[in-house]
Amino acid sequence: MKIKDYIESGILEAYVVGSASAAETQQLLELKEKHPEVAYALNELELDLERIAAHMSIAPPPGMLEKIEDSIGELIRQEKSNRMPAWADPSNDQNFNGNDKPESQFIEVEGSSSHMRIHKAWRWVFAAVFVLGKIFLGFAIYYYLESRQAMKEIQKLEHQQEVLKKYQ
Amino acid sequence: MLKIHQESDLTETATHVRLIYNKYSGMLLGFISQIINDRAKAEAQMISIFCELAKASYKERSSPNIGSWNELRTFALNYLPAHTIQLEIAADLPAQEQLSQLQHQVFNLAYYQKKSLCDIAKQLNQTEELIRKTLKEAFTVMKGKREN
Repeated sequence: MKIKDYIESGILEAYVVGSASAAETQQLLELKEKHPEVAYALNELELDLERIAAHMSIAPPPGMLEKIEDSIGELIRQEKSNRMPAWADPSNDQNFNGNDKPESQFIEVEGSSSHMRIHKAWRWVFAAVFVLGKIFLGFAIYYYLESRQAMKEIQKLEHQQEVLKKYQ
Repeated sequence: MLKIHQESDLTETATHVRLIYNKYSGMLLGFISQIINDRAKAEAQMISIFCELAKASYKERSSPNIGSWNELRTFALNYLPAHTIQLEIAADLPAQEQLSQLQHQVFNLAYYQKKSLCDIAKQLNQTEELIRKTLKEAFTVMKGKREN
C-alpha cells in the first residue's frame, strides 16, 4: 500500500472526526508510528478542525467563567464533604454548638507505640549530662578515698598518742 | 499533609480549566450552539461540560488528556445529552458555504454527532467508500475556502 494513496483515501479525516471503525483506527495508529508523513497529515487535519471551529466560534457572555468556577467550587465542596466524616465537616453547623457535641466527636489520641521520638538537639544535652555524671562520680570516689585515708591517719595518730601516754 | 495535597489538586484543577476556557471557550460555545439550537441551553451545557472536565481532572488526580480542540470536542460530545442534539445542523455556516449538500450532511453527521462512516452510509443510503471520499472532499473545500 502506498502511503500517499492511504493519506488521500479519507481514512485520516474519518479518524480525526471520530468516525473511523476500530480496525481502521488500529491500522492508522500502526502506520502513524511507522510513517512520519501520516503523523504530519493527522496533525494538519487537527489544525484544520481547530481553524474551522475558530471560524464558527461564538464569544461567551461576560461572567461565564465565574459561573463555571462557582459550579466547580460547589462540586469540589461536595467532593470534600463526601471525603471527610460528617462531624469534621465545617459546613455542618451542628458540630459547633458546644454542648451538643456527642461523645463520638472526641478522638482517641493515645498512641499504640511504646517508643518516643524527640528532637536531635537533645542528644548533646544527654551527652553533657553523661560526661558530668562521670566527672562527679570520679570526684566522689577520689574524696571518699581521701577521707578514708585521713580517717586511718587519725586513728593511727590516736593510737600512737595512747601508746606514748602509757610509757610516760 | 493530605490537606496540602487537596489544596494543590484544587489549584491545579482550577488552573487547568481556566487555561482550556481561555483557549477554547468560544469554539466550544459555537460548536454546542450548532448542536443545540437554543443559546441559553447551549451556555448551560457548556458550563456542565467544564464541570465534568474539572470533575475528571480532580477525581483522577490528573487532567484528562485534553491538549487540542479536537480532544475537547470529543470530550464534549460524550457529555451532551442525546435528546438535545438536533439532527439538522444549520446550512448557513460561513465555513460550509461552498459545500455540496452531501458534503454538508456527511461532515455534520461526523463532526457534530460523531457518527461512524458505516452509520452515515446507512442513514444517507450511500456506500461507505463514497462517504469517506465525501468527508475528505468536505475538508478540502473548507480548507480551500479559508485559504482564499
